[in-house]
Amino acid sequence: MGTPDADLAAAAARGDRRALEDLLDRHTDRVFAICRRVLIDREDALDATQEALIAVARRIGTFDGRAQFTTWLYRVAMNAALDESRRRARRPLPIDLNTDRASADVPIDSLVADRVDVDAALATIPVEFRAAVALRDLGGLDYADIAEILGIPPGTVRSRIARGRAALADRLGNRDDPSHRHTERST
Amino acid sequence: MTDTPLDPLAPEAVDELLSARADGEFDAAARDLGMTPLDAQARLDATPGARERERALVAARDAIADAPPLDDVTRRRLVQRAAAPVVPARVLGARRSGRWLVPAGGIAAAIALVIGVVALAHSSGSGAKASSANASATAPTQHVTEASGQINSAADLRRFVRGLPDSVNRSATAPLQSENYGAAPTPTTHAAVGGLSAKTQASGTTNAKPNRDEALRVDCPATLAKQLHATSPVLATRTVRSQGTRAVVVLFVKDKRTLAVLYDPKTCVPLITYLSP
Repeated sequence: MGTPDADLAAAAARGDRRALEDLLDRHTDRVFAICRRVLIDREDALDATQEALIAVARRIGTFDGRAQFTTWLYRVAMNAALDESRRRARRPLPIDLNTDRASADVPIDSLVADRVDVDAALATIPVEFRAAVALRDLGGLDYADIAEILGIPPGTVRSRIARGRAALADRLGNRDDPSHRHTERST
Repeated sequence: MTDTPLDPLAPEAVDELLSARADGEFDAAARDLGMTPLDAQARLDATPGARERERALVAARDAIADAPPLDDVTRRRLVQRAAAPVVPARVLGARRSGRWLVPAGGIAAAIALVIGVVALAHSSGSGAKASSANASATAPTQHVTEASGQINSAADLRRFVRGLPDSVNRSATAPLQSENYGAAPTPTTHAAVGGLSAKTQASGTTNAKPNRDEALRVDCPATLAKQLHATSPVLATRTVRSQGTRAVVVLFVKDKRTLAVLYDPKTCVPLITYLSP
């Protein structure tokens, strides 16, 4: 285990750029993953990730260490992702299929599966639902923290997470064998 | 709820309970659904296919959590952009007072170019287009005041760069000749894009000194070029609005890619940067 997040954050707040870079580098993959699940589109997710990292870099001095750094970070990331989603909704753009290309180290079959199953399934539910799912399944936050970040009751968090997972479960069930779907859902 | 304790649960309730159990939240979910945890479990047991459904939900959770990592280059770029220091105001002040020495060559040429900016009114009439084409042949730096431009995020900046006229993008990717930047006077066009009025003037026809704002704007690109290690002088500048205030986008080349920087013209502080793929 390396230097704790809180120590890096404190050093970064004092102007230690190396500490800031280490801290951001440590969490960038997870921030991107959260943004990716919320926004679906890879380029939008990269933009939101960049916005989130910039916001963290600028506001690192305001992190008081009372909460976990990741809770604070994921709140910033979620705000960036939802902001990006709102901007995209105001200004729809044609989808550039070529921008969602694989990174070199990701097998193409897993990427395709990821796109077809997870993205398609999550695209069937509203962005606010995807936000709850991403904060839970990628951020590992508990329902109370998610509720606070999204400004909704914990019970709503639970139902949104269930609905997001169910959308994917239904899709996976449909792909493998429709007869294996044991609960039909109205969407 | 009208169900008896051993009635099968509705599909939504099954999903909510099973999903919550995967997160250690089963008891709270049961209570919220009006049942004790024991009742909820009994009714799940009475629901056909609940066990398979639970496996499917857990598999879905795992699939959602299984996100591919970023490649190293992209991750490094994101981090370095975020962690890049801003230009302190005192540096700019010191430079304006003559205490900050800069290499004369490329930066001075860039400054000269920004002063002698070139028009580009891609959405204006044919006359403006012809003017733009002629101008781009002699001096690649272009300045357009875009009254309706709003850039509030990296996404906006990326779209903005993508939406620039082809001549600008060609300038950004083509090899640059330094002698192009010394040509003066060059025409200056402030074009309001989107059907608004355009005003064109030749910078060679006036000897008026730039006002304070303009002076700041002239200084900023050179500062940013140095700070961001641009490999070209300024290619184009454009006045936009960001978060409701005036801002400027300046384009450079960096490592054969287009580097766009949105900055505050009063402080030279970069607000958003974008490096094309």
